[in-house]
Amino acid sequence: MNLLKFCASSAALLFLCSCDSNDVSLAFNTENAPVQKYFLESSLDAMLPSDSGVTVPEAMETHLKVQATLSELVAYDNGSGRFEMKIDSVEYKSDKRTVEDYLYIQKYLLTQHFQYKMAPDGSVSEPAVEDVALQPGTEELNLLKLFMKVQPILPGNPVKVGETWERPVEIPENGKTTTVYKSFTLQEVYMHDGAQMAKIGMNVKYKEVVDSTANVQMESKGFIVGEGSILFDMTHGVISSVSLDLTGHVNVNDLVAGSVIPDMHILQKIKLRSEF
Amino acid sequence: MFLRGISHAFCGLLLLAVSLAAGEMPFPHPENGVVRLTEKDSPYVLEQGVVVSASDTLIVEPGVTVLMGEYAKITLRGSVHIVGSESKPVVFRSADSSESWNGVHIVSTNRPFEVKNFVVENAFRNTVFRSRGIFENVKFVNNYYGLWVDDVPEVFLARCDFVRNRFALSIRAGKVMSDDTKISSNVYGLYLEAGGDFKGDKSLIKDNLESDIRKESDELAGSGKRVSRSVWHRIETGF
Repeated sequence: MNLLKFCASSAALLFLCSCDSNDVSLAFNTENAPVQKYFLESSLDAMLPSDSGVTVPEAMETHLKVQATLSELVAYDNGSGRFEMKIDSVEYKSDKRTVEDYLYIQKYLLTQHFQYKMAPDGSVSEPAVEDVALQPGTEELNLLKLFMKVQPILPGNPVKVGETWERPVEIPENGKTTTVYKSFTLQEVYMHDGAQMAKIGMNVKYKEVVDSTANVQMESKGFIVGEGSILFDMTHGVISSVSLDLTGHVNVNDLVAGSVIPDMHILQKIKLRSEF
Repeated sequence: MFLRGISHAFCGLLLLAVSLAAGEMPFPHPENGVVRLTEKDSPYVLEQGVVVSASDTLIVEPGVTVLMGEYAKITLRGSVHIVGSESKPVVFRSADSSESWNGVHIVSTNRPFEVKNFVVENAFRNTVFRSRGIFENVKFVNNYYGLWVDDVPEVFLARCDFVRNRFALSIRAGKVMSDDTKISSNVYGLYLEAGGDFKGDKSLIKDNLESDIRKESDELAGSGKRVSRSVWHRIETGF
């Protein structure tokens, strides 16, 4: 039965992909998506130059590596599906934390299984950590947010190579919602190992806005901007890989200490790879 | 990894099975707005996270022991009354002494919390955040962060003991009033971050392995640095 469903879905996707010789339709498989292994990596570097020679330059380097399993739980009549991301393993390091802190964070992140609804264009709704008792606090890393940063949004209608589409994405967090403006360009369509692949360029920009409930407040100077690319497996309707490099400057205001750290330079590299 | 998952699930089930066989009770759910732990049902077992919501009250009676699995985390947002007696303290500790558990987190409670004659052992971190209240005759033993106080108006420590913790007491943005509280035989004693204030007899903070009292602002100034731990962590969690 599953094989029949898969064949029917693949045929539908191929049909959509071939509706015009120049047009391609891109859609996530939300009917009978295969179970996928996700490999997510994120590195974050923050740098503060010295202040007129009075203080020393400072930097932070962190690295996070996550393996997870993505499964579709329910396919809805409206074409969307409910998905579950189960976290299988976590490796984490930061030069601003102790080894015991790493171990604690690794252990804690292993419990951050989350669910969301996804439409065929990839837009995500109702994202939530499964165990409400383990919701990330303000001082904790948030895998769901990382995932939503790199999640591609597809055009929803047939596009030609070279065509661009834009979508805003709302990412909810503690005390605020960040709107990430994503712009995509279909760069290339080709066959690889029997699957039709789409290479999509991705540009993102967003402003880091102040969380008024926090006593250490961070605000970006202008936009955090990012550039990356997506390989989308059109045949199976799944992500093959995503990479995104973000850069920007933030001011951090420690209300308690009464100090403002200006112009911290941030570089974040996120990579996602999927196998099934 | 699959095997590891199986192994975790198996260990959890095994612990639950052993617990049930040994007559240990699962951590209770609220009934009519009250989560009540009684001595007659003790010891309890908590495997995962539990949240006592803002509308609920936690009442723990003298003589209660809660055995924590390695993923156990207690978040208290409602009223908190953990009240043991001198002869029958309340004990929260890991089920397996070789594994730590997450800890007790008193977060944004509306009414002052009351924690008396209590022992908390083997946790990674116990925190008080945006809450006020009293710890009286509480022993913080062998935790990684014994007690982490952040953004609080006032917390009272009366006749408490901090022993064998890695970081015994950390205070940021808050005032801790201490009376006859001993902080000894930890790796680090008291750590004062920005806005952290400790009022009490500092001579009782002694014989800690690395240092008795540290102040983040002094450490930063001494090394020509400007960025505090909180700022680094805020940046990291913001991205």
